[in-house]
Amino acid sequence: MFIELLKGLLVTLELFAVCWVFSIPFGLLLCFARKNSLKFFRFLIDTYIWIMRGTPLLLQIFFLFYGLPLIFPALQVNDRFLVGAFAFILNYVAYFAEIFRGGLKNVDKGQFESIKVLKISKLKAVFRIIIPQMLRVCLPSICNESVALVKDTALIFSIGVIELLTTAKNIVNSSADIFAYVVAAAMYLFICSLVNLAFKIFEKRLKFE
Amino acid sequence: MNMIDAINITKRFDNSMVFENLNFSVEKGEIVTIVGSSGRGKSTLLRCLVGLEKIDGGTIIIDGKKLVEDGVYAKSRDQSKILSEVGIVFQNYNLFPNLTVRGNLEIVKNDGKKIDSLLRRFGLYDRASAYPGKISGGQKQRLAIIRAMMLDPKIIFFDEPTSALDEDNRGEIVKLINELNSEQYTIVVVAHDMQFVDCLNSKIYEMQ
Ligand SMILES: Nc1ncnc2c1ncn2[C@@H]1O[C@H](COP(=O)(O)OP(=O)(O)O)[C@@H](O)[C@H]1O
Ligand SMILES: [Mg+2]
Repeated sequence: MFIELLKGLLVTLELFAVCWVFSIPFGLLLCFARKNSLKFFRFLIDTYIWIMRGTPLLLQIFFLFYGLPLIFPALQVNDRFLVGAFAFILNYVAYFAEIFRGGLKNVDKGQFESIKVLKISKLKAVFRIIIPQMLRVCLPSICNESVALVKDTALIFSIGVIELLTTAKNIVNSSADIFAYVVAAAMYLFICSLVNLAFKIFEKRLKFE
Repeated sequence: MNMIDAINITKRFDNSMVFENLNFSVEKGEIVTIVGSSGRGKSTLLRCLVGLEKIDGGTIIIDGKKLVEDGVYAKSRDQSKILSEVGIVFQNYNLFPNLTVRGNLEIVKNDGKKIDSLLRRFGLYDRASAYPGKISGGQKQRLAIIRAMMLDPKIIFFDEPTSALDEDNRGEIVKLINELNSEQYTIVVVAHDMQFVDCLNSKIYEMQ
């Protein structure tokens, strides 16, 4: 049983890691693109974020896996994990972009003025001044969203990917013993606590003291 | 020879006029204080002279080079070159809080020797690894001054340098400004504290 659950856990972790690693940088990119683009593109980005945050993730997953190939048969992808991960990334990019937007708004206008008069290059300014100051503000929200992502990964069961929760459910169904649920719950708790801990440590380092 | 010539410059925000046909000039090596009550546009004038705001009309010449002529700005590359002659110490300093004292300087120019000597000279050497949030008001101001000096400007602008300081540090900043001036820096100071203005051996420009 443990071996099976561990296998399921591995799928869950994989999905989490892939989504996180792509959603964070693309969320940042989207947030900066939004700030620096023309009204029309800003409108497009806002619409995208609005749709992604205003419709259920489950619907988005269904749409990508079942819906899209009906309209564009060429977009039929058979790797369920891949499509699911893609749906997660599209969704979480929107959430992270929105969090980063809040962080960026919080950076004092004077910082940008100092950057300008001191002729600090854009790239250096973004990575060494702006992002660290944004993160300090929005790290708690990113932490929350990351923990939510750990738990949301279970939704990929809906297109037939067998991850931790599905594995536990299958074991419970065939053994008529709920112990597998308890173990799965403990595994989720452990991962979420680990994520929380990692963020707490990072937060301390970003105190600038 | 003038370091700064602002001729008939006009600045408005949307439809409110901040100043119109203003003339302002500073000779090389001078200290000029700009006085005038709150809201007259003193900070805005400084911001126009360092390129943070665009004027709506007039001419600005810095060290003989035209930044704007009759409301038309130089090419962006030339602007950047012309503006490298000016440095500014903001009223609230605008230090980078996530970088250490040294980091605030390194990000402008990674020149360890220069940074060390400036830190020593301004009494910040032993605070080099502290974050701006952990140093005193006077130290913050000195850091802001050093940071402005990193790019070797010929003019340094100060916006209300005494506003955030206590009595002791006020005397200190007078000394510093005079010292910088004796090293050929041209200095422009916005102030509304007349006691402070009296301590500076400066030409006074009143903003109406
Ligand atoms: N970014 C801005 N947008 C609109 N109005 C501004 C802006 N900055 C300054 N002002 C206005 O311009 C006037 C001059 O402001 P300021 O230059 O800060 O005055 P001072 O420094 O002399 O106190 C004020 O009426 C102020 O409200
Ligand atoms: Mg002012």
